[in-house]
Amino acid sequence: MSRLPQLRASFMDAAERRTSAPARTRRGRKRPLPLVVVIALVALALAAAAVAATGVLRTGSPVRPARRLTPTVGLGVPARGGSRVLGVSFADPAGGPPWGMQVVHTTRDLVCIQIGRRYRGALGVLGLDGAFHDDGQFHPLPPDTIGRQPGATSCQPEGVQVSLEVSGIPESGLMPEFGALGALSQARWVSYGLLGPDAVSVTYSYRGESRSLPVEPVTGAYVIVLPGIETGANRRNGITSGGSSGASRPGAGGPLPNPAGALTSITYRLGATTCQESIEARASDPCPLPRRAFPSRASLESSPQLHRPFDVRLRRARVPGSYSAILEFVAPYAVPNALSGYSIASPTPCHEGTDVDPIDRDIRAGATVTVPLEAVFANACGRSVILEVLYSRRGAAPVPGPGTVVVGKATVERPR
Amino acid sequence: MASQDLSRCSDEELLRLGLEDARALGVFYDRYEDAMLLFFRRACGRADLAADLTAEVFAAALGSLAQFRPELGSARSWLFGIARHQLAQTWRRRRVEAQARRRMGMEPMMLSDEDLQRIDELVSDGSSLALLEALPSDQRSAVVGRVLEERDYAELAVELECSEMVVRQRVSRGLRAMRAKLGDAL
Repeated sequence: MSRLPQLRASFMDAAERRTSAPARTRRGRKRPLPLVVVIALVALALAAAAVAATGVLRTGSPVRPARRLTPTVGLGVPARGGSRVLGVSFADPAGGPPWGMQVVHTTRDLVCIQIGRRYRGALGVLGLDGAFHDDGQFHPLPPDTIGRQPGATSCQPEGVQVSLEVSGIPESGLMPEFGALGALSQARWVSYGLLGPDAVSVTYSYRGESRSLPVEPVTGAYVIVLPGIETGANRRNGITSGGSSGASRPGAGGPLPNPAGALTSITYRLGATTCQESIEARASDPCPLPRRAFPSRASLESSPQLHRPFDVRLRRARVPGSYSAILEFVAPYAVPNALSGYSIASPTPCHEGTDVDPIDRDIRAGATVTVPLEAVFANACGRSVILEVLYSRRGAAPVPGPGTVVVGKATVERPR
Repeated sequence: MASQDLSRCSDEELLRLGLEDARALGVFYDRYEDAMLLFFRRACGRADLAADLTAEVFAAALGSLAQFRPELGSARSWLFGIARHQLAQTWRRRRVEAQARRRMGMEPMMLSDEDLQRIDELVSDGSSLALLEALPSDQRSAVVGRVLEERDYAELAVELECSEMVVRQRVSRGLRAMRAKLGDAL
């Protein structure tokens, strides 16, 4: 039985009308349009033409950051003088200002790349598809919006190269603040990346045709923009997202094209020769294989603060039978930026894997760190749970080994 | 036309049949009414908005039935795609649109206290959704995205600004947390 019978009845009436009406009437009879509608359509057409022409756009208010950034937490804040719009651009399928890219260096030693619409040397978004009330204006994307545009922004440590494929970015360039990546009918499929100084070009497939695009010299930046969803031969396009990152040099674990995306190969120059990282298993001139699966990471120095007991205080949570906790430990190593960090791991011997909560902020060596934990016993195998404080260099696996040490460990019993 | 047991049809078949047969759309509606109300009630926290948005989504789905392409994804994904779009529009414009309902000639709803109560019951009857509400926000986003909305890990990783592995961990941890709490309650 329906929870909302009134809605169901109304829906069924509409469905009956729709299915019983002849096709021609479903499309609507041609009637003279009222004058007010004509005026509105002309205004809309003029606004669209203004956007398409790209030369007569007005600049509106800048995009506001979704959340306040903190210099020592998460991504950090944009470093002074560390942001610039790159020279790359790619035409939008519907015209208007091309797409471009800017890089933003942050106080936590990350490099964020943002994509958006490029107009008069600035990166921004357009007032289309509901963004900025469809005002048809250009709205700049300030560097502090790096936390605002998931999918249209990617942050990684300096020197790490990246190749991304993202579907569902709205034509406006403005990501919705909540929910989906956008309306697929109006969305764009975007491939973008920073491939470093050895990269020469990227090749992508569109409607069964292979096309190559030179990357920006020195940075190896590129951006490719295609319609979000198309049927037929362009089956690669529009229904996936993903990407890869790695070291700057090919053959040392550099980015690879996403097999489910439109990018098919990346061409690098190594000395006097060129090679390709390709989705094809048998490329004609493949780049040399990496010498090792992962970049080497020196083991961390020992510290007298390791393996010290730490304090865990349990608290009853709002959910009956559930507990939260406050964990405190003394940090043996400093975390000066986003390239290293502490995390709280909860090994679960009766399940597969280990649950890890990162502590994503700068920490001074010797500081007492307080961490709130929710649902402490959520993954307990019995009446107790093991908690480990780990310190890892960025990129290291959150398990003891090269690049990761156990700072301390505790077994916490559920109160009876 | 021979009578057909529509309840045995797949969602995609129902949408195809629905182009000619309203009964198929009724079956499709019945399959997803609760899911839509749950989705919006959880996202908005209000039963009246959930009802309003659900009505708009079904109207929009009805209006764009001919555009559904099963080769691009399941009917469920298509419907949730419309729902996520409606939600994004609502957050952007600070109001629930009624364009689709007007276009399809659907009457405005008069919601009674009982209607709202039935929607609220979806999240307060000790169901898995109540447990979902209790999860930390990062796990809740991952579980909702993966389990309720059936989205790819890769897509969620981009949206949640973390790696696919972390999304998998959050989904796994969230589901285990919900199972553990269900166990506590039994």
